[in-house]
Amino acid sequence: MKRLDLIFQTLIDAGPDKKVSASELAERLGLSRANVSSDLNRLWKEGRVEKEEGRPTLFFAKQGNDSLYLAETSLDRLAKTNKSLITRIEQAKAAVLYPPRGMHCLILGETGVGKSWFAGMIHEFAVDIGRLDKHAPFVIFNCADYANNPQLLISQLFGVKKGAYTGAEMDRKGLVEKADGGILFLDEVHRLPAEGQEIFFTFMDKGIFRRVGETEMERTAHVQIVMATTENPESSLLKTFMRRIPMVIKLPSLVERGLEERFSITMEIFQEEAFRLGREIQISANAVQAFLCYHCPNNIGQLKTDIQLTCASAYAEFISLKKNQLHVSVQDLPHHVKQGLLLVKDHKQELDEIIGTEHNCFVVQPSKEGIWIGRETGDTTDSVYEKIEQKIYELQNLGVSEEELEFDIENYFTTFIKGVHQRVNKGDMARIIDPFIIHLVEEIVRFAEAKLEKILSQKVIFGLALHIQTSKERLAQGKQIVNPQINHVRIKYKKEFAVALECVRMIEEAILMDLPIGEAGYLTMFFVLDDVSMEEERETIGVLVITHGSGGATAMVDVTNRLLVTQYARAIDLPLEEDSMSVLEKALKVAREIGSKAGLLLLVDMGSLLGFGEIIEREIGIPVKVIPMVSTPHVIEATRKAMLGHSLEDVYRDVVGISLYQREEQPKEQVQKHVPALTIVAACLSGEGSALFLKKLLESRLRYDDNLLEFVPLQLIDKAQARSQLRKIKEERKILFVVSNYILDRELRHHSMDDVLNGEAMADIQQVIDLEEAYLKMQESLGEHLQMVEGQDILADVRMCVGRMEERLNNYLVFDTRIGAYLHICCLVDRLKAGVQSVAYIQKESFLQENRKLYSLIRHELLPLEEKYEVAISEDDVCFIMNFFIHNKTLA
Amino acid sequence: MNILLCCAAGMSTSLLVQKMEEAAREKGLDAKIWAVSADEVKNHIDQAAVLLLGPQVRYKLTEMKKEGASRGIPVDVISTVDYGTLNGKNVLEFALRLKQ
Repeated sequence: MKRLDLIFQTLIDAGPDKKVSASELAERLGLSRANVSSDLNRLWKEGRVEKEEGRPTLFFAKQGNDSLYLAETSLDRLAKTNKSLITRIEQAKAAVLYPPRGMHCLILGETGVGKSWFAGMIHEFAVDIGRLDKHAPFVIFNCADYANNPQLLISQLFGVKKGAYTGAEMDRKGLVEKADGGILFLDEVHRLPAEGQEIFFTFMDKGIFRRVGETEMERTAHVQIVMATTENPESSLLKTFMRRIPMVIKLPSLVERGLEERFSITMEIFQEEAFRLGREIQISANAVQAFLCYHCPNNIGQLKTDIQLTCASAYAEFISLKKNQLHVSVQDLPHHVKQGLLLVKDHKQELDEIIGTEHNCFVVQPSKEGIWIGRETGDTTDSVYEKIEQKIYELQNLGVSEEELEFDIENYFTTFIKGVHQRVNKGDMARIIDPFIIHLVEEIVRFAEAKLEKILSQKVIFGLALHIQTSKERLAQGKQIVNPQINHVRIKYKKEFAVALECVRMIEEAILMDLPIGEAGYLTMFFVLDDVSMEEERETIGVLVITHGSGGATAMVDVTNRLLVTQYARAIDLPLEEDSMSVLEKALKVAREIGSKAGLLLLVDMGSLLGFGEIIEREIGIPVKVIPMVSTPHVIEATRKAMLGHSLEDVYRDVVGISLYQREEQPKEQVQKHVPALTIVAACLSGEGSALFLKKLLESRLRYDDNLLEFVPLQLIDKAQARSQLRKIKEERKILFVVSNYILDRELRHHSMDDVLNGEAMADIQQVIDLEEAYLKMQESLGEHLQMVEGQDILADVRMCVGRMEERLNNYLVFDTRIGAYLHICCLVDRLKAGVQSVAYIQKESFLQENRKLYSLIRHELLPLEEKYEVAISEDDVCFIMNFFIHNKTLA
Repeated sequence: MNILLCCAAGMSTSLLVQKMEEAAREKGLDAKIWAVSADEVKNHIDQAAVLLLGPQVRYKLTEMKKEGASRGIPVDVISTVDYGTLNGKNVLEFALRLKQ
């Protein structure tokens, strides 16, 4: 033991009440008084002992338990359960104890290893041992928040003098001042911008700084700085830091921590949850194993989130099913955690040592001090299977009995697939199916998708999983599976049947049971009857405008919203006297409201606003793009595109492009080559196989004018890309149909490949082509012949007008009548404009008497036309139009 | 040859009449072509060699055919596409074919 420690220990042993002088102590220990005196003074300077001035000066141990050598500190407790941290903990202690005020230190480690938490532990430790006052501040600052705005960052850190810049209305303390006497924690220190570094280094070296705007006064603050970064310390910025930071603490990743520690971390987090929920949590041994083994790249942070999610799911079940215990089992785990079970076998021995083999279940108590224990619970292991059985029983009752199977297999499957989806929600399903089977089904689906060139929907995956599980149970119970229509199925769906046979083999291998051939028939039906919809809820991006000055942003957004008849775009004004921090708060609030997963487009004018994008992106976790210039056309274009559902990237590119290409755009359009105005899109996975075949088939079987109509094949491999391509086509021309096995866009008419191949859809397609072509040609000929109005305009207006009538009357005109009606009304308007007398309708009065309602409705729908073309449509004229609807269904 | 066209109010067909007259001139054909409303047909049919109906008054076809049959005049409905696109040439040819 060193002399210093010996002296310290002696004082501690004597207790805080016993005050001794240097000479007394020297005598007792047989040491020289001078040495003892110097050591005592050093101990006092380090804050480890108390001193009472006088003659002689008396020294004594500190009050209470807050001595490093007496009590167990937070760091010591930590070291007990986390052996891998012992060296790091020693480093941390040294950094805190280093005289006079501790040493700056840098914490390295991957995302989620607990850097912030460790910094907090350092602070706690410093308070525990009395190095810092009980109320010593612990100030956290994330450099990334202000990485793009060095000025704001510096003012945040060091404070601002009143009048330093517009808006600095009073003196403001910076974080450095707020941390005086304590610890300042700088997270993501690699994001500290160059401008901030120099000032910061000066402060680190000398402890002096100035508020922004101050010139003469130098301020001092006693702050221990703890920094953290995920970056490689060899990077250039960090190198300059490293010179000034003597203590580097590298925290190990979760994998490096080893299984034993991961186990104690896991249980600790569960215990926190138990504390939060205020009740005991039981965790099945399998669930614990999954948590110990699953791939968890974001370390403890992720582990914590996953455990919280799991507990939430178990809690929901606990509440809804009114169970008397909160039990976490494998079914509650998120899918990726479940996959950890597949890795259990790699760590079998180690796991057995850590968690033992005798426990089915672990229990954590809600008390803060609570311990977890392994405990046998009889009733939990079988519950999964009970549930499955119950579910299967339900499904059998719902029409899956063997007798019924023999009736209508297609019908059965359609209802099975659809019904399963409706009755049982996804979460439920995942819970009642053996993870092993889910895994197997995923494999089968991958295989089948590749072979069949088609994407199977989630409901098929669940349907299949349930089906395989059922089949397995049935076989295990010796029940037969019969498929009476197997020959029919085999002949009708050759390709699917061949794939199904392969899949049956895969299942046989996996469950180690022989399956009857009928099974292939069932699988075939799954593949055939999946009319999957690829359309997802299309999310639109938010548009937010922020500009300096009062009312600027609001004005632009008002114009935009009015023009587009929407409330889509949002505005925030930044009056010069307002602090940009408070505007940031507002911006974050709005961003939370309107931002979606698709992202947020920010249009700003200048200054600190440019940095908002990154802050919002970080705070809310949605992609944000910033357009650093803003004018009303920008806002209109952004809003219009955003409302159409374009992606953030697309809108950003287009809006940025406005200013750059506005002038070039016009001549470009003129040289654009002729594109047929109509199109039919055929889509398949490759865009080359069946889509190309369909294109040829349609071209050969349909009558059409290739100046007006073109068939476009579309590739589906990347769904998002396929959708955006489709949107692009949609903007340029009218899409009459999409032929595909997937619904790509609900607004478009759609035929499945089968319908086209077997010819069922041809009549429908032909009719639509005829109508659209006739419509386009009508446009041309009307243009030539109408004297008073523009042919194209009037036709579009009339079409809209007739469309509304059809809708209101729920009476859709057949092709012939419709073309006639278009032409009739166009001519009518033209003649009225020209002042030609209306033709009288014979027996008008009695006709009107009989059809009062129809008359007023059609009269009403004609109003927009009358207004726009400034004509008065007579009663007689209306009667003629009424006839189109009356005789629509009495066709010869 | 006299060709009578008929539509709801004789309005839209009048455009087609112009086009058919042009087509007839090109063919060097001497034809009288005119349009009336459905109710007027009975006053004009006696002067016509052929009666053509606009597709929107297709429902009158049976009735008109009866009228035509008693006078030996062929009656039919104009193709919707030709009608909609005001294809005078096609409709003229259609009328000529009917007469043969």
